[in-house]
This record gives sequence, C-alpha cells and structure tokens, in this order.
Amino acid sequence: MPLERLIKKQIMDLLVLSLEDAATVEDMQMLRAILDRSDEARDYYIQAVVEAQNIRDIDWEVETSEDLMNSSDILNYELWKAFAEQETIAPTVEIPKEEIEHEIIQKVEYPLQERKKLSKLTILSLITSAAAVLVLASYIYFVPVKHSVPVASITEMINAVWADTEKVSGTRLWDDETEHSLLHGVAEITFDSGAKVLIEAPASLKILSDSGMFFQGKLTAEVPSSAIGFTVHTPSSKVVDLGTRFGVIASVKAGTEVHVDQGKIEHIPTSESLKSLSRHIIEAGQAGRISEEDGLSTIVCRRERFLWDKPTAYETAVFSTNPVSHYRFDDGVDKIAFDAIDRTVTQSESFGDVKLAQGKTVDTEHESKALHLAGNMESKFFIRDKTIEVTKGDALTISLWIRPEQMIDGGQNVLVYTDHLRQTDRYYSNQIFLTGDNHVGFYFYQHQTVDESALDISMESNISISLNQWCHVAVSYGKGAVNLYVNGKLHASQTYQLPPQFFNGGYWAVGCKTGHETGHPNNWENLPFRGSVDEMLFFDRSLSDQEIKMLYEKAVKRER
Amino acid sequence: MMGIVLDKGKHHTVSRDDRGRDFLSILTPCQSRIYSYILTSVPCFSDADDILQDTIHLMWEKFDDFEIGTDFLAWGKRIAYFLILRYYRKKKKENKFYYDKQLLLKLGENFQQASNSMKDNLAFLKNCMKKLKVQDQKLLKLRYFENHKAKELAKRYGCSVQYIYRNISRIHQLLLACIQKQKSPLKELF
Repeated sequence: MPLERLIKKQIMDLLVLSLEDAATVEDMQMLRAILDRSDEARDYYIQAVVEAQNIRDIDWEVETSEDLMNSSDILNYELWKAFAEQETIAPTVEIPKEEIEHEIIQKVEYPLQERKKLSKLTILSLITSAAAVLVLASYIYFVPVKHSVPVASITEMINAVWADTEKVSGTRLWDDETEHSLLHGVAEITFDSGAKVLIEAPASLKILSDSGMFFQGKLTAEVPSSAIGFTVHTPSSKVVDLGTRFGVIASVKAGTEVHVDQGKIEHIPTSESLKSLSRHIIEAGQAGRISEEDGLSTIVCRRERFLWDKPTAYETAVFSTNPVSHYRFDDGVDKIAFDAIDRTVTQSESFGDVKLAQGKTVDTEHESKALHLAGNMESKFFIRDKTIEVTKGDALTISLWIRPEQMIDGGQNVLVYTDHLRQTDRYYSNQIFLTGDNHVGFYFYQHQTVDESALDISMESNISISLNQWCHVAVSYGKGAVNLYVNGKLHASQTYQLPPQFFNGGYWAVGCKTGHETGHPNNWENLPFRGSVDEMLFFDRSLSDQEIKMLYEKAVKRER
Repeated sequence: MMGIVLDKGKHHTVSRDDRGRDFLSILTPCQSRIYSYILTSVPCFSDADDILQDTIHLMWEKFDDFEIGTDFLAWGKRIAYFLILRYYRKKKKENKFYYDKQLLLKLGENFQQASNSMKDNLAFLKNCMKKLKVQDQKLLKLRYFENHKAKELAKRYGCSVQYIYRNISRIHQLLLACIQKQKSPLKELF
C-alpha cells in the first residue's frame, strides 16, 4: 500500500531534525512509532536517509559562500515565512515527460487548399481573441494555483458542537480557509507542525497552513519547538509564537488580547488603522492588547481566564453535564471566583478568615487549591452569580465537595442562597448544612403553598460524614421532587408543591452563619462552616442519579 | 562523511602496510554503504560519523580475522551493528531516546532489501538537483557544502531555526519524489 503523503512528510520532518541533532525525545518517539508500524514507512525512511547522505557527499560546484549570501534572490525573512506557509503545498519537481516518437504509417498527400481572403473584421476578431488567450495564459502562468491539503486534525471534542458540519474527533482540517464555527463546548486542534490549540466556544476559525490560522474567540496554544513560528491571525493583529504557551481572546470589536504563560510571543498589528504601531514582544507572565480603540496596550496577565490543559476525565464529565456555573477555587485571589465554563468573572466578596488554600483536592490529579473557611463568626464568602438566576428556582442542581474539620453543636452552614442585602439572618433558602452529628442536610423555603402550609422542605442524610475527609454532596430538584445525595448515593428524597423561593439579585453565601438570635449572641440556627469547599457546580436542571454518580466517581477515581 | 584514519603508530611494519593497502582497497567501495547502514540505525550525522570511525578502526583491528573472498560488506555491517547496540546501550543509561533492538533488526532487513535499488541514487539525485529552484539549491549548498549550521542560517536571515529545518525537509521530500519518479520506469522493466 503506498504511503500517505502526510506520513512521508512526518518521516522527513523528523528525520531532518534527527540528522541535525535537533530532535526532541518526543520527536524521536514519534519517528520510532511510525517506523515500527509499517514496512512502507521503513522503506521510505531508508531512502530518505540515503538521499540525505548523498546530498552531503555530492560534488558541489564551487561557489563562494559570500556570493551566495549576497546574491539578490537569497532568502529573506518574508520569503522564509512564505516558504513555511507553502511548505505542504509545494509542487513536486518537474520531470520532463518522455517524448514519444510517432512512427509515420503512411505518407498522405493533402490537396492544396484554396486561399480565402480575410476581411478586416475577421482579422480584428482574431487579434482580440489572441490577446485574450495571451492574457489568460499569463494569468495561469504567473498566478500560483494553490492546492489545498489537510494540515490539522480535531484531536479532542468535549461536548463540542460545530455549526458547519458534523465533525468528530479525528476529522482532518484542510488549509482551504473554510470557516469552522464552534458553537458549544471545547475542541482541541492539532496541527501537523505539532502546534496544539484548545478552543472554547463560541469561536470561529480558518486553517491557513500547518503553522497558521485565522481566529476569533478564545484559545490557548501550546507550541513545541518543532512548530516555532506558529501564527494566530486575528481581525486586528497576528500573534507569532517564539516557542511558548499562550492564550488569545480575539474579536472584531474588542481587538486581540494575548496572555503569555510560558516563553514569549510577538504581537503584530495588522489592521489598516493599526499598522503604524510597532510590534510588541510579550514574555511569560505578561499580557498585551491591540484594539482599534486603545491601540497597543499592556494589560494584566490573567492566566486563570484560559483553559490550558486538555480536560481530565473529571473535567470532561463536568463539561458533559453542562453546568451553568463552576467554581473551582484554584486560581485568582480571595475576592474573585472564576467560572470555568465560560470564564466570566463573577463578583464575589469574602469576610473573616477565608482563603484559597493549597493542598491536594478532589478535582484534579495534581496539587490545587480549595476554599478554606476558618469557621469564626465572620467567615463567609459571597458570590453573586447571575447565571443562577435564569433557573428562577424551577429546577436546580448543586454539586460540591466539602471537607469538615470539626463537628459543631447546632450544626454548621455550608451554602445558602440569600437576598440582595445579604440578610442571612432573615432571608435564606436552598441551604446545604451539616447537623451537630455531621449528617448532611438540605432545606428550602417554598414561595407559597396552595393551602399555605408546609412552607419548609427539609431533609437529612442517613449517615454522618467523617472529619478531615473530602465528601461529595449534591442536591437536585425539579418537577416536584427534591433529592439529596452523599458520595454519589441518594440519601433522601421528598416531594414539593411549589418551587423554592429565589430572591432577585441575591447572593450565594458559602460557610456563613444563618438564622436569627433568640436572646443569646451565639444562638444562630446554623453556625459558620469550618473546613474546605471545592468544585462547586450549579445546574439549571435536575441532574439524574447517574449523572451525580458520574461526577462523584470521576473525581474520586481520577480516570483519564 | 568521515575519512578513513588508520592508527599508523600501531601498525608500522611493511607487512601491515601491505595489509593496510588491501584493507583500503576492499573498504573504499563499501564504506558508503556501511555509512548508510549506520545512518539508518543512528539518524544523526555527528553520532553516525563517530560510529563509522569506530567501525573502521575495529574492522582494521579485526582485519586479520576476515577471510578474503567472503562478504566484506556484510562483515563490516555486522561490526557496525555491535557498535550501534553499544551506542544505544549508552543512550539508554543516559535516559535518552533509543531505537530498540527489534526496530534495528527490522530496519536492517529493509535496508538489505533496498540495497540493490539504491545503486543509481546518486546519479538520479544529481539530475534532480538541477531541477530545484535556485534558492532551494542555494539552501542545500549553504547547509551541506558550506557547512553553515541551521542556527547560523536562521540568525543571518532573521528567521527561526524551525523555518530552516522545515525548508530543508521540504526540499528533501521534493528530491526524493523526483528520484522515485526517475526510478519508476526502470522498475517497470523488471
């Protein structure tokens, strides 16, 4: 079976790096894997090695280096870039076709034709036609014809929905500048040059070559040494990689932001009105913006706004359940929480001894952070998240991990929804709490029942949870049923008549005291939570038992 | 490719000099093939050069054991094979990447099968070189004849080293496609 052109290219690219002692361990592993796989690949590789050896040994005509360097058509920067872009579509070397000598079978004598006189009109028509043919021929000759080739692949799709075609993981993308729109989810595209981009919806892109793309939306790019020079073109600028990992947010209106995580990039204005601005080198930990409004400006690097790594099995599970908000408590400062799905900054505020504490948490395969609350009377963490309000309380699921450090008589409050004035002593609902003996509880306050009775719904787990151990808690309600889960298992279930009360413009309060005083200063219905909270998810629907079990198991087993 | 360097200090008797002349006369037509074999197994010019040098030394040391009339090329490749294994053992200790023994054997088999068809490659290559664009020819010449390193070329022209490598790879692909096209009519004859 003939070897695919792409495989040939890969073999040659890797071989050239290897011969020059410039290949990385990963490059060599890839080469080894290709050679291990097929006889045809090894044959091609051997021919390539021998060719490289022969080029080295060939008798070159003597021409001084100085002549070569100074000659007018020697390669310049722009030409090299053009080469890089044209690399995959370069025509093969022309081989002259064999001239076939036609044997004369029989000599034929044709009678002489009568000469016709040509009119002026005929001559004029002929001249015009000849000129047209000449113009067409010149056009074909001088204007290079671009042959499209596949230069990238979709290598991962997490809950991804594309607008144009039904793409799947493994779909090849051609450098034909077709627009691809990602409407939902996350997709990873790997270019044949080795560059990888992780794209978050909504986004649109055009593949320009194996080392370049046009892009609008949000992405992170990881560029290995084999693909240095990888370029992201945006409506206002282009971002040229100089060996790095960077994030881009680009749109026609807001311009282009680049946040560099590792290495450095070159940010070059390209739109007509910005062309006069100088190019800008941005290094690790720095960020810059180019926009029509502000020109070129330096901004604060916000690493946490991007999705840098391919999601783990747990993260994939989260994406598949499609939460409206996801608080990871991994990045940022105490007063800011970030939504991992659409990365919108959510207003939040902490009081008392609340911090993002380092330590091994449930959500990732590495050390990360969790929200830690000291449990004193002032400890609380407020989040105002408008995405939750869309639920209107008709259906909701809350999933979170908690790690209590102490049993507290009278119970402790983990999470509650309160009003816009944050009056947790008077107005609260959707409350997750621990009882004095560490049973998990859930409470909500209904708007108003038909018979004006049974305004409160309250339930508790039938087991108590351990101190200093992570425990998964989930509450799900909708269509008149509310369920409480602990570590993936259903522990309590109740029915209700009307949805729970949701306060307009209210806040989620993590770990704060709730209830009202009855004479004693510390006589709160529930005291502040002492311990850690992590991976808090909100959904605008009632998740199934299986989905909640999956969220629990994927985090615990850390499957990939 | 490296030249042949014999250790004259050790072998200065007249009879050894005669043996040296014999050795060189048999080695010269085979040296390029032995180098191809080494380069196939160790695809790095500098390391393959070193292994060739060591192979020739060892062949010279062991030349007394070689039976005239038997396959000198096969004997040379066998010596090279052991040096290649030694090279990879060292790489393994350094935790660097290595081809495993199984792949080396597979490559050896493919190399053996391809040997006959590679005889005229140099002539085809010369022909194909003429068909390259001038700037492509110049790049190869600067790299392989003038021996400018890729980093040096990148620095001079203000581009990345990666552009240089990728263009060299592109030209290699063009040349190999050209060589294969030229060889294909010959194949059809057999």
